Amino acid sequence: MEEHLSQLELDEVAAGVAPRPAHLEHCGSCRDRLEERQRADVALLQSPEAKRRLAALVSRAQEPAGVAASPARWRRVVLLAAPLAAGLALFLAWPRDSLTDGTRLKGAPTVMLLDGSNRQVVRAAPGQMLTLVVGSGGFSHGAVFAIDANGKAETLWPKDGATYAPLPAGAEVRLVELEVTPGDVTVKAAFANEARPLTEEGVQSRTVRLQVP
Amino acid sequence: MGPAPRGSMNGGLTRQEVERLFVQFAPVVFRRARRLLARDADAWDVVQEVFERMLSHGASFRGEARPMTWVYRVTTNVALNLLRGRRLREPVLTLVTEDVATGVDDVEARQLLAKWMERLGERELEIASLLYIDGLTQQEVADVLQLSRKTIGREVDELRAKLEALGALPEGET
Repeated sequence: MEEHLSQLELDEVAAGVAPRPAHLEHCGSCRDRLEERQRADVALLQSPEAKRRLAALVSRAQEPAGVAASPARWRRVVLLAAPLAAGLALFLAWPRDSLTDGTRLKGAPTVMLLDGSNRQVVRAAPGQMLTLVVGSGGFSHGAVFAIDANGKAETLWPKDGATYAPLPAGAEVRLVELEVTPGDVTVKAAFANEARPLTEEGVQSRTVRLQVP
Repeated sequence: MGPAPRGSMNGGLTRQEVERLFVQFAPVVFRRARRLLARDADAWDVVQEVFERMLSHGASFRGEARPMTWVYRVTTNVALNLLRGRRLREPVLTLVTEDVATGVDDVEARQLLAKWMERLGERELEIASLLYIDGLTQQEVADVLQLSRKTIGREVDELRAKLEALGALPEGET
């Protein structure tokens, strides 16, 4: 007896990226699964949320290169941040509640890159996901930049605006998730006590250099 | 070489291509993400993220020999990362569902995921979710993760032994 179609095969047929296999002609079970999937897909695509997401993507597709990503929804959003051409590709994820207790902690500001097991890393493989964590050290505002091997800098956080942003208080505030791509990169966190322009140096700064073989 | 926002559609995709890709792949991404994350809003965020990646790499995505394996791979990666982030903030996240129409299989899947996330490494988690939650064959898991059949066979054997020892194999696999 010929095996039924797998989920992957069904998805490929439903999406029209694989030919309809002969198995479907004589297997009512797989035919039913496919038809059910196609009905569900049509319903999903007609939902208001699908239309909203598609409109956002189309809008982004029409942006000229160099235009920043549209503003994020808070919390659950995994968003594109600005990546370096050679270095890190960044995905902003603003935690609903960071690792804070609402108290602005004193002490030295810090910046770290953590792996999936929350271990600090300075070396990572392409494709690995890391989280950028800063400690405010008592500073009220901050900004994070990525600097590639050629010295080109890109503002990673805040995503929007032209000034330093208010820093959530805490010794370990998770700011962005990073997907590592080939090429070493230096991540620089700058700290200040006012919303100074992003082009200016902070009162203090901390860097972490990530080696990516 | 200046910085370029990854979100810009520098893959050169037209509006029509974006719409076509969305119709073809958004339901797949949503369905798989919804199963892992149990929340519509989170699943839509995964759709958004996967498409951002797809569109920003338009040329290379077009060149995929089997684009659905790319979609599976990236969806798994994005959804599991979102789940990890949620888990840090919401320790009982896998018990939280937003509707009552969840099937028994989905409940079991989330309970398994909760166990797996405590004990498995990233690669093991990807393989376990593709194999046991998505129901892919070993060959398909190998295709999705771009590994050889031999490698995936060995890793699945090790994974099974580990899950068995942890009492975290799905029903029917023991």
